[in-house]
Amino acid sequence: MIQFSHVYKTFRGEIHALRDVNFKINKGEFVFLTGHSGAGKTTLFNLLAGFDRPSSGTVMVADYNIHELADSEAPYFRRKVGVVFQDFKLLNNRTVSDNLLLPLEVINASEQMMNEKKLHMLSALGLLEKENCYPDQLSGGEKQRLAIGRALISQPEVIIADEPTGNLDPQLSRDVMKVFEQCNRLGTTVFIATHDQQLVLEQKKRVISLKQGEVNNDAATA
Amino acid sequence: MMPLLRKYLRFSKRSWVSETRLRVSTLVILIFTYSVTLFLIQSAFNFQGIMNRWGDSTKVTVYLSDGQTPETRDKIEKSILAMQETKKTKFISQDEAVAQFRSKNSLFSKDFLEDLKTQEVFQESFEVTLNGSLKDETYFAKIQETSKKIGEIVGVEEVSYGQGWIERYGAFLRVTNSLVTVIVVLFILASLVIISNLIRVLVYNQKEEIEILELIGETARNIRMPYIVEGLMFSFTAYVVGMFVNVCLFVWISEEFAGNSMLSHLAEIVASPSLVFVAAGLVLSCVVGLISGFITIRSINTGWALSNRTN
Repeated sequence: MIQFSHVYKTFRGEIHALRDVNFKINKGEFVFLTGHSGAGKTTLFNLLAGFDRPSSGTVMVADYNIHELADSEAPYFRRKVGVVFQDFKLLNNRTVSDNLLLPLEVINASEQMMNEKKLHMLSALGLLEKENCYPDQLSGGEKQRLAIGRALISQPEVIIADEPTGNLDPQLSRDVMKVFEQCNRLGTTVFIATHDQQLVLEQKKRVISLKQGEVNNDAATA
Repeated sequence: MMPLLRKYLRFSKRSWVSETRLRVSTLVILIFTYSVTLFLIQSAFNFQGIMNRWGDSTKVTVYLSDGQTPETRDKIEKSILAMQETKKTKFISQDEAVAQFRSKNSLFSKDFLEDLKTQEVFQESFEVTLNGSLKDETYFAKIQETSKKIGEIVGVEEVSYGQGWIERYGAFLRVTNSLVTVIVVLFILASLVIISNLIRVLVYNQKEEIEILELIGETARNIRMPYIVEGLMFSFTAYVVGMFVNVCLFVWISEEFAGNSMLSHLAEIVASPSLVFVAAGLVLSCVVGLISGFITIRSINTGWALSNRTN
C-alpha cells in the first residue's frame, strides 16, 4: 500500500529533510510516525499525501509513484488519501457543513449522498449543532474534529494525519483515536504523525521513528 | 455540466459577498472602458459613413473642345458609357454651367455674374458618375485610370475630378481606419489588463482556498473554471451595459440631428451600432474575458501550491 525506497528530500539544494528513508506499510495497517521537531515528519507526510515529490528515491502509495506523479494525475491520487492537517486547513468563508462536504463536492457526489454522509459524520463527530457555524466560531477541538471528518467522509483508502490530537485534551484525543481505529477496522490504512509519546504507547501499534531525516526505529510498541 | 455550474454559482455567490467592493469597482471601470471604446469606434464608423456619403457623390467632369455638334457629343457620351467603370453621364451645356456657377457663387457681385459671357468662360461638359465609391481603396486608382482613358477620346479637352481633394480624402479614410484599429487593439489590451487584475486579486485573496482545494483532490480544471467564467461574465456584462449605453446615446444624437435643419441629412447616417458590430463585439468581449481569466489563473494554479511554497 505504502512503500518508501531510498527516499531523499532536499530543499533549496542544501537542507536535507529526508535521507535514505525506507519502509513498507501494508494495506489495513495502523502506523504512527514519531520524531522530534525538525526530524522530517511533515516532509514525509507531504510526500505521502502527494503534496510534494521526493528529490530522489521512490514513494509508492496506493499504486501511485509519487515521484512520477503527473500534474493531471495528482488530484485523482489525492482523492484516495484522506488527510488531516496539523493546522486543519479549513475554509473560513464556508460553514462546517460546506467544509465537511468539500471532498464529496470535488468528486461531484449527488446531493442525496452528501446529505446522508453529512448527517452521519456530523453526529459521529458531535458537531451536529454546529452545522451552520463557520470555523472561526469553533473551538480548537471542534476544528480538529471537523478536519478529521473532512478526511474521512469520502472513505479514502489511506488516511494520514499530522498531529491530529495536538489541540485536544486527553479524553477528546482518545475519542479521536477511536474514530481512526474504526476506520482502520474497516480496512483503511491509517498513518499518523505525532510527537505525543503517551498516545503512541497507549495504542500499541507499529511506530516508525524519524531522527534528523532518517528512520531511527521501525517496530511495534510493546 | 450541472455540477460545474453549481460550483460556479456557489463560488460567485461567495465571492460577491466577500469581495463586493472590489467587484463593483472593477465592473464600473470595465463598463466605462467598454462604453468609451464602443463610442469611439461607432463614432469613427459614423464619421466614415458621412465621408463615404460625400465620396459617393464624387464625379468626373469631362470638358469638351469647342465646336462640338450634337452628333459628336453623342459619340463622346457613348464612348464614355461604353467604359466598364462608368455608371451614368449628364450633359452640362454652357448655359447650365453658367446657371450652376451663378447659384453656387451668389455672394459675388450681381453685375459681375450678369456680365459673364458663357462662350468665353464656360465649356460644355459631361458629368460622369463612376461605379463604386471611395470606400473602396482601389477607387482612387480607378478614377485616375478612367479619367486618362476618357481624356484620350477625340473631342475631350480636359478631365477633372478634384484630384487634390480625393487624395486628401483617401488619406483621411486611411487614417480613420488605422485609428479604429488602434482603438480596438487598445480596447482589447485595456480589458485584458483590467480583468486580469481582478482575477489576480481574487486569486490572491483566495490563495488559501485554492491550495486547500488542490490538497483534497480538486482538479486544476475545476479550480480554474470559476475564475475563467468570472472573467467571461465580467467582460460580457460590461460589454452589454456599454453597448446599451452607446445605442441610447446614438439614438439620442440621431434624433438631435433630425430635429436640426442644418444637420438633418446626417440623421440617417449617424446610426446606432449595427447587429454585426454588436455580435462581433460580443464575441470579442467574451474571448477577451476568457483569455484574461485563463492566462491569470493558469500562472497561479499549478496543482502543486504546497510544494511550490516549500521548495
